[in-house]
Amino acid sequence: MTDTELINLIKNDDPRGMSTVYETFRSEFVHWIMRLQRCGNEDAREFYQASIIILYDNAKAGKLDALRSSLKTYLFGIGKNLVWQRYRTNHREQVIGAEFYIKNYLYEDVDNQAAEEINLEIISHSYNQLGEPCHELLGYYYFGRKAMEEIAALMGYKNPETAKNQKYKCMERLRKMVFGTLHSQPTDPKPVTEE
Amino acid sequence: MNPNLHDIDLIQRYLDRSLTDTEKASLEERLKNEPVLKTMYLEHQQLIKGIRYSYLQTRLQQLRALENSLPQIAPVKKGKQVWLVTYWKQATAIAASVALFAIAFMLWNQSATPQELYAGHFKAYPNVFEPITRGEANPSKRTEAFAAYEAGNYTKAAALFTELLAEKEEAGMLMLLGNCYLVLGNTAEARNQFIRLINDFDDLDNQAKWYLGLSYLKEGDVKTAQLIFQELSNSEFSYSARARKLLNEIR
Repeated sequence: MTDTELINLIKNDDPRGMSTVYETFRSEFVHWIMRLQRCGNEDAREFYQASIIILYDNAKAGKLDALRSSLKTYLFGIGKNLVWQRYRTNHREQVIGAEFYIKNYLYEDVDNQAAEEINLEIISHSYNQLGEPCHELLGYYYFGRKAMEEIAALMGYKNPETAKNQKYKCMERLRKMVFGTLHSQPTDPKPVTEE
Repeated sequence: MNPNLHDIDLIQRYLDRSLTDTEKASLEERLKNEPVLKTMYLEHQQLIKGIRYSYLQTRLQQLRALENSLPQIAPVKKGKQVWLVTYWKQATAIAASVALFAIAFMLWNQSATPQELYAGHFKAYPNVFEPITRGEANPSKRTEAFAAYEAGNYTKAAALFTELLAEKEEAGMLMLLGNCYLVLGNTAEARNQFIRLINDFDDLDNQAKWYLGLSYLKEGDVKTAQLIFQELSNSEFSYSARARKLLNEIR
């Protein structure tokens, strides 16, 4: 399978894409990190899993659409960045879970002020408690990066504007769950239904 | 439009980098002067990151399940070894190793039946195809099927996968249905799924061949199993090491 085919599988959320990439480069990447970082197999696998997740997220965001290097070079480049991140920490001797690198990756383009206060675990937990249709709608928009037209069609809303209003209510509901206050009361947030 | 909705829309477009230069300059000015708007912006940014993190965590769990199903990564072969023992010590050590290996091999060869080899090597393929959200009020048939598989209820999972596959053929479902049949002891049906998977899809071929070989081994058809594992052992995929190990045990 070519790199382009693999990227397309990942973009379409076909799980074969991620698992094929994972299995193809696993052994070579883990050995490489073990040499580079002078670490054990377990630690190297956490590096590898984080690198695959970051590659996956970038592919979903369309950042690999015009990839000039090979997918392998790109993946190893991510790994190298993670090694540099690790050098900057004080935890060089212990195994660090992939979550550490994934959080750092998400912090990267966040406003510094926000980064200090951000708590991804709490937001993630609240989001999973949100219920439907909010969980699905916000997932389509922020993770699936689907347009409102597509979301309206997928979820049976009258038009993109209705889907957009619904998304707003869902975000307000999540905001209330996480931060405890609403800036205003647009409508009763429970239950969230189509207008 | 609700004024908050308008502002959120602006913030979203700002983050998407789709505002015009004028709109962008105006919003940046407002963010400097309106603390409520600034808070709304920062919170919005955090919520988006949190939603993305939630999905990436789910994918990470899938990778970890996949990792657990794969063979251990073999240590790197060292190019140069410094031998500290003398030649005769080396020869003695080698001879002893060969003898021990031969004894172990004979003992193993006497005791390990194809079925025992199967039992030692079979591990159900993990569900890396469909994340399961626990506690859904009205789970779909699809969710129920994958949840049953994860819970080890292979009879229920097989029945549901069969119904779903009649509607639409999917590589992941064929892989898991084949695994269900292997666990349930129906090797012929298991093989049907793996062969369909190999014929109709391109991406899980090596995995399907591994389980296909195991299905023959379970039936005691060692020759066919050997042929399949031989083919796998020549591939560059991670299953090749696993296949080589099993071939050594069969011989």
